[in-house]
Amino acid sequence: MPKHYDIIVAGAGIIGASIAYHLAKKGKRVAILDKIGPFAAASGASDGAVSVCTKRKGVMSELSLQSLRYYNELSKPGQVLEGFFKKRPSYYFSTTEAENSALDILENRIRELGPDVSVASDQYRPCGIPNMGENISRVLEVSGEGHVLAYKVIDAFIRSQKMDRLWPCELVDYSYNNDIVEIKTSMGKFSADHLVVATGVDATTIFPSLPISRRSGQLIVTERIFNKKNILQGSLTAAAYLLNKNQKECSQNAPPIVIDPLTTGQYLIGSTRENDGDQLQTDFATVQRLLTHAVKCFPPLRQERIIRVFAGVRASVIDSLPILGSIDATGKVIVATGFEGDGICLSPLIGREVTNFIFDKTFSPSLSVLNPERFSHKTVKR
Amino acid sequence: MSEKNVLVVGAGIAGLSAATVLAKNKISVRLVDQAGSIGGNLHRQANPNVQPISRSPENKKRWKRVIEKFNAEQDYISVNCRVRFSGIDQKGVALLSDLNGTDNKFIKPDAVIIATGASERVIPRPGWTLANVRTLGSIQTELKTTSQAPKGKIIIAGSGPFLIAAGAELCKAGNPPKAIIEGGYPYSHILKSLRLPPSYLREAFDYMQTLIRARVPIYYKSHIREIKTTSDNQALEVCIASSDGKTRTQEIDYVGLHDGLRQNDYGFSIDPHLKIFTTGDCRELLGGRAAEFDGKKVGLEVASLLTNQSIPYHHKREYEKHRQAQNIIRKIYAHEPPLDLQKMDEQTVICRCENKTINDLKKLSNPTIREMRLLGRFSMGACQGRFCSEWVQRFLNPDTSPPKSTLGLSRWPVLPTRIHNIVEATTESTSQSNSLIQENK
Amino acid sequence: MTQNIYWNNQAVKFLDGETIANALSRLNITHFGYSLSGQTRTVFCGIGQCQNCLVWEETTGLIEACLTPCKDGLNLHSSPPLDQKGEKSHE
Repeated sequence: MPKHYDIIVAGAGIIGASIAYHLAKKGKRVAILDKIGPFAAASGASDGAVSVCTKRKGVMSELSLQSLRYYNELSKPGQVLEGFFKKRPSYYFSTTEAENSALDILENRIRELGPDVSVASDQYRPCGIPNMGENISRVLEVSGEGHVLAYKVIDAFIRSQKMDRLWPCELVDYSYNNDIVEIKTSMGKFSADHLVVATGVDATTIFPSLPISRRSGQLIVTERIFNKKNILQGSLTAAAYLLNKNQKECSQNAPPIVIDPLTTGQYLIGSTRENDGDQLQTDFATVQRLLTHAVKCFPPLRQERIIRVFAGVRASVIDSLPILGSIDATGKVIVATGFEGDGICLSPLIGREVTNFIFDKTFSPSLSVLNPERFSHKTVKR
Repeated sequence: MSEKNVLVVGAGIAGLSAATVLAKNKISVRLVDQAGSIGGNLHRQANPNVQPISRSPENKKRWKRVIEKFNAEQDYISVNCRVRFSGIDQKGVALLSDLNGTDNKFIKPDAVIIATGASERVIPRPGWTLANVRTLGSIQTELKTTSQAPKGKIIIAGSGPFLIAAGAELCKAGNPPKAIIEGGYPYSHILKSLRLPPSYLREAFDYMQTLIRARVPIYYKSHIREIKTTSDNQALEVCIASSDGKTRTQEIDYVGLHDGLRQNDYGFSIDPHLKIFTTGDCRELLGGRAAEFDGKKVGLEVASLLTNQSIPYHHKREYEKHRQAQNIIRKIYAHEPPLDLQKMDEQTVICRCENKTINDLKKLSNPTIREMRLLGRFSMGACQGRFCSEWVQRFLNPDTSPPKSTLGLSRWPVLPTRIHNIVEATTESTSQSNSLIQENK
Repeated sequence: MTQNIYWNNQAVKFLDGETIANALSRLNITHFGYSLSGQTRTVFCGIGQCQNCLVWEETTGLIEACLTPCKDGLNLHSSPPLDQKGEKSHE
């Protein structure tokens, strides 16, 4: 008789970890498994921005806001993420007219979003932040957003509650046997009342018809910033990133730069969406392009040294919305993937919502657009 | 004349030999080295206007032979010293930066030969991160370039023939070590050592004579267990333990540690698709004599590949002879590892860069490699695991043998690279590379 | 003509071809301060691999003492850098 759980969560990234935590907290017998180990894929190769401003208007924006509120709750004293979620200013800057318009749009949207995020300052040249480059014409400082180290969040989620942690253990297949889901893995067979598949890009090995592709972004890590004068209080995000994400426009002149000061003291420099498409690897030319623009925007970077460059691979869905929901009418197998870089921000919320589904047998209406049923007709257009 | 060009990183014996052979086959070679001149570790040249310390006859002979052949091929070789190689990306583009930071280039050679020599292994122990505790190699580097030994009392410890070689060099520089602490006992394998080629034995005898004349005590089956600063903070105090359990302390100014060598394959995987090759000690610990032949062999392999010919290699037997000699040396010095990380003081630092201790490692429960790095911060600092990965892996899995030399896969940059250098780097085209090499720039 | 580098505002002479570590070693200066993680800055491997021997130059940043050649007028400080009054400016 294979070991039986209430729920098996496949994938120990930030989505799977959050789901496992929330379910275990409510008393369910949970196993979380991963092909390699916790944060082995996208969650371990990411920046940690918990941001509402960078999300597209609509369901993503709304969900991020709810998740941001929830992050605030979960990081209160005595709660599971105490000390892990750091509130800090986000600086959105523009160097071109197009970016400037994007900031105008952002400003309006922040007003619509309500009190959780607000504009702390809106500076035109000369800008209030020391060391900003001369090409920067405007900086919008937003407060209310924050930053986490995804691996610390995952570790907190999976260690704070009782659950079986199985790795290296790859989900191979599943089948139904009456009311039970029988799961075949590289570590043998298990059974559960429910299976949650939160395996990021690997979800396609179980569900080949899901339109998920790998979208990579190169990330650069510096050593710890030594010169106090060069330290940033919050992340610097080029408004081109908002353009890139929200309107699918590729702005070659102003690559979408993010300079993210990690709590380790290092900078993470990225272009988190590569319109170059299928680059799964890193190369000097791209890194040079990124760094050249980063140095123009923030000149003190020039004297810092990079110690690693890597590509983070994210699960990207054809219609740019995550996939969350039951894969069929039984409600026994749930898929939670395709967060493409928004997983860290949304993870607490997703964990809570999937848990609600397990108990109430229904997802909240705001999540209905994420349901995998939307692909059954295969007529999805961009 | 072939229009191909090759980058050789490291101008030691193996690199020089590889470059010579390539140039002989009319392939342009750019030879770079981060030191001030060619020679690598074994033949490190003294700084300008410095009288070099005397070398062994064997050493002088080999250098003369290698450099004569090298100098004869200068039409196709250009040498750039004080240049660091930041790595090669997946598209075959390499970044070279000079140590002044003013000349930074992206180049796309047709092949790259890494000949960066071996790395030293140093087992962590309490106090190994104190000032004036360093690798024996760093003392030898200083000695060979400046002809000056560090001022003060020096003790050298670890295992292997390098201890007596470096010890003898310190004698010649006028500061004999106060003691040599050797973990093994080579004399229990006299018969084995007689199988070594005569030149090896002559060299060893030469070093021993120098040490005996200078009355340098050598303690066998012993190791340095712990290093502390003296109470007035002016010097170091080492605790030396021998295999019979006895310990004693000695006051000293410098400690040179050397627990063996390992390949310097950090960040590289031999990638035939990208035409990256390794030669010499960085690929396999062969010693200087075999490195000459290995450099030639790999140079010929690359030349064959690039010219689409099959160029025969005649020195296979010599090569094997020296490889066998290295095996014998390893056996002669083999001994039970004297330091057990599992039993060591938990405050002992393992990851130097991030200042992470054995205790920090113990706090992780059954970690994956990712967890060790991200949660534990091991190997996440500037050296990216070069000095700690072996020990971290051995600690978590004592049966790992031999452990992988890094906690990850090949990566670039292979060393911390200044953003300025990347931003300012200009791209040199193949034809530019070829003409620069042939003009000997 | 004497060439000097400057270490914490003290003139240190150097000979042709010497690295920063060579010049400092002549004056028995081997402790270069501390890293942000509390690691002692000192020469360890001598060949630029361990990244232990980093010293600070105002415009360039952190540089390896064991590899970087001396240049006349090179102005170096130990880590953490001292400001002009000799107080630690980075904590």
